Amino acid sequence: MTLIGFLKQYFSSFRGRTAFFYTDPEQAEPAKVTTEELERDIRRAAAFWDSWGRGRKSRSGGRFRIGIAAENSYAYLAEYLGIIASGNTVIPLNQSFSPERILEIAGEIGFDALLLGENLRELPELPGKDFPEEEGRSFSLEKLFSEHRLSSEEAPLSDGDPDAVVLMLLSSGTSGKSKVVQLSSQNLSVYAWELFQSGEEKKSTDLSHMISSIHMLPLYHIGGIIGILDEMARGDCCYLSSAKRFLGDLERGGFDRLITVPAVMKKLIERAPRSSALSKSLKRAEEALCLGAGMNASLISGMRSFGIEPRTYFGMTETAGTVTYRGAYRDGACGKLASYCELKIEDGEILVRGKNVMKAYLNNEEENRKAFRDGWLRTGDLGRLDEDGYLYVTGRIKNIIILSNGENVSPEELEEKLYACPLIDECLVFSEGEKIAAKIYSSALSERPELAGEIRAYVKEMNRGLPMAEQIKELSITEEELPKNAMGKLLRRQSAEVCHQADSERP
Amino acid sequence: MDREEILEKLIPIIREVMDSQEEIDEETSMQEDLGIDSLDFYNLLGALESAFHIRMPERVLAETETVGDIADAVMKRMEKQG
Repeated sequence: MTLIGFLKQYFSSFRGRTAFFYTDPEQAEPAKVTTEELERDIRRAAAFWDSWGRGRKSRSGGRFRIGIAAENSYAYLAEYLGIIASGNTVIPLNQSFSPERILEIAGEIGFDALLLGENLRELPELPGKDFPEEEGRSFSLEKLFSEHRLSSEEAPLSDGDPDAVVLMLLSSGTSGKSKVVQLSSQNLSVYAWELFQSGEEKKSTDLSHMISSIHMLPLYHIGGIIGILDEMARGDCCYLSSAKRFLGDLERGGFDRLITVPAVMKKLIERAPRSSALSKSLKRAEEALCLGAGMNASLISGMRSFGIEPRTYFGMTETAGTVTYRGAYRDGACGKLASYCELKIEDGEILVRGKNVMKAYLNNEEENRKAFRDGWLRTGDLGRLDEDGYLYVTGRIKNIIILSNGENVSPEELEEKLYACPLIDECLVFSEGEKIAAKIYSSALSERPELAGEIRAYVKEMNRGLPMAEQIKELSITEEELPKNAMGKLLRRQSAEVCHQADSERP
Repeated sequence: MDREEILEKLIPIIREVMDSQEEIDEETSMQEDLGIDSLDFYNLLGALESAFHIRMPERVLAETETVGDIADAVMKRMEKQG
């Protein structure tokens, strides 16, 4: 199974359909792309990268490694898939990284070329001395894509080697040397294949089942590409959005399915009462797939108040996304296991092996040793399965607080309890010496600061139901959002550091 | 477009993005006075790009604090892109 093999099947099964819409800033109406146009765009990009590579030598000695730093766009997706179709490796980077960081990673990984979004090319430090434009080492993504659209060269699509590394992604590990996850063509395609095959009976030429979705997850994240492949495998029509355009795109309305992160979903629900277009759009939506972080109970009930059914998957970059996703949504669970992988729980930790699991991190022996146990990938997540096979993720191993009496406390379980208080928008629990501390963000405080008292009272009451060792002894309540990564996941370490500096009090 | 004109165009955009009825001038702080959050931030970035026909890296907007700072950043981008 290969990614290009999947694309070929997709193009032949869904000929004539609209694959994507996206906002073209130059036009009032969204631009539309059919499956034929997508195929042509990928083949043209592949033809370009084929000829670009002729007579060149890669810095790593293997396939060419081509980095992209840009905001989500259709051009980005077409080049991303075109690079893979040309037999090379694509490495999408977070476009909000500093130019120094982008160049540092490019050096560490050994990029052969760098594609930059037009707005990043405004930064004078990019593309640096290693990527001279005149030598074809750096390109403007938008310009390159417009040139490809005018080209008559199209490369044929060939399946390629299932084990070839087609994608590298930086894993969210934030400290020390960055971990570069290498994903093969097979890793990246098994989920799309499974989904495609499971929907076989619906694949008539009748387009009535075709639903319309909107997707805003960044392409430098595994959720970005998996969310798109997900929509393709279903034959849906997907509006490609980005963080910057999401609100405006969503207000156009007409979406059945939203693909986003919990933090954004929460803000949309808060904002809806003030925007009738947004409120109408949310009421129309039937399902929201929230990836990248867990959803808490108050978010789920907020979604349901608009008639939106939540959905989430369990997976990580190292597993090319989706490990569990099947079955109807069940509160607190991440679905049931996919058929292309196995899962077991050992000492509380979720272990995974299968066709979607990466072989190794790039040039990182130490992390590779730590990542696997007897051929099973250690996810670092704690979890359990219910009798029907649904997976529940209960916390991260590295977040576990070990008290001096040897007792283990999972901060995520305490956070879940805190989230039951409607005044608490974000919270993190961590250890502060021997004590358990919590940092809480409440948006209500900016209007009514006295509500901090109610939060304290809530925590006090909550403590009464907990064993002494697990009680929250230090509490800091703020009017400012807690630090998050680009996917809206709370940054535990940074938040704890902020808290060390701030005044915390007993609840 | 000079700075005054930019501000004149910018303030209604910020008022709309932030859904704010408050008095806004160049001293207004996006964080302290208007409570900008991450969704507003990206929404504002998109609104600035389409209203002023510029491209702005996230980092440039992230480094601004007041409405006046945003006007300066917009002006710089406009000059660069002619």
